[in-house]
Amino acid sequence: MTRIFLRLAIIGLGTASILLVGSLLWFGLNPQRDPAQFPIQTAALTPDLSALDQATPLPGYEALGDLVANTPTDGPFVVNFFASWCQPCRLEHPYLLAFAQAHPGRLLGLAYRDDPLASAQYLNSDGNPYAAVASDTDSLNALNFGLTGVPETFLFDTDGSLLFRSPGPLVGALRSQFEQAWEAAQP
Amino acid sequence: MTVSARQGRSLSAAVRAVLLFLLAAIVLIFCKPVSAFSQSLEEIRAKALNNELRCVVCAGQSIAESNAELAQDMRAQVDRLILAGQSDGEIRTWFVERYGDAVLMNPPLNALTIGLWFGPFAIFTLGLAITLLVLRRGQARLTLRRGNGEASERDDRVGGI
Repeated sequence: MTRIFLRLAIIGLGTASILLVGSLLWFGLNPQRDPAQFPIQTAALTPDLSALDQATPLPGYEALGDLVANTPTDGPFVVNFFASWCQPCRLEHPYLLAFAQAHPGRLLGLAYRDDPLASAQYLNSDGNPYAAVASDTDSLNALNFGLTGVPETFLFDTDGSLLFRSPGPLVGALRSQFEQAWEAAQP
Repeated sequence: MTVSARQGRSLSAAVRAVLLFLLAAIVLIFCKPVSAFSQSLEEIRAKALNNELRCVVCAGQSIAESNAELAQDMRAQVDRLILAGQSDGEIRTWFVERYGDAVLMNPPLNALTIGLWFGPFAIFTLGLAITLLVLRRGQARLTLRRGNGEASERDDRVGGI
């Protein structure tokens, strides 16, 4: 009786440990997984918009420098972090221009860790998609948003609650997810 | 002098050397490094917090260990919050609100991480229980064989548990 019980227990435990180790290896050795990727808890965290007034205007874009005054209050809006030194930002830039043309006044830009003059020159040469744009002084907004890199795009509802977060350039799957979230956010 | 006596003497010398080494190690543990510079309380707190916060773009490094740009930003923010008079707990909460629990190098104890904290102890206890059970059965079988002679030999050959 005990013998059968013990045998069953050992077979059960053996199977369980093989499954456990197997699934850990399956997860850990998956080449698609980047172990350095920081787990972003999008559902739990709402970016803190309180430091939007502490951004530095870009030379030549002073009229668009006030992010707070230019934040739409009548519908969803988008905050995009970019930098002139950031190559992936150039991938999404044509899409940002098209988006801004289709939805004027909805896209705000923050330059992350960038010389304001360099940011302004980038916008001069590649085009400015932003209704309001400034340089993120001391990375205050980057930390308030829980930023892990540039580009990163945040879609907010009118009340400032986060609807969607794109932890990379708006191309491919991230772009279609963003577009879906944007469509769903329309009042 | 016999061989065993010589061995005994060299053995005691080795033991003495080991004891001396251990004593030195213990003394060294209690010696605190003396810095030529005195640190302010704020500096000490910032260093401790920097070691507790994870650099979110690095693999397994704290912001004290990393010089990534984001780690520099996070260190600067720790300094600003300390100067603004925030407590260590408030500063930790500030980062957790923005980056989630994963920003802490030590995972907090909650429903999600309970397996992480107590799983190893549970597995150890289970293993210990199985080992004891198997050992006791082996012991029982041994006494059985001593008592019955060949009666239980078949069991051993089959090797059944």
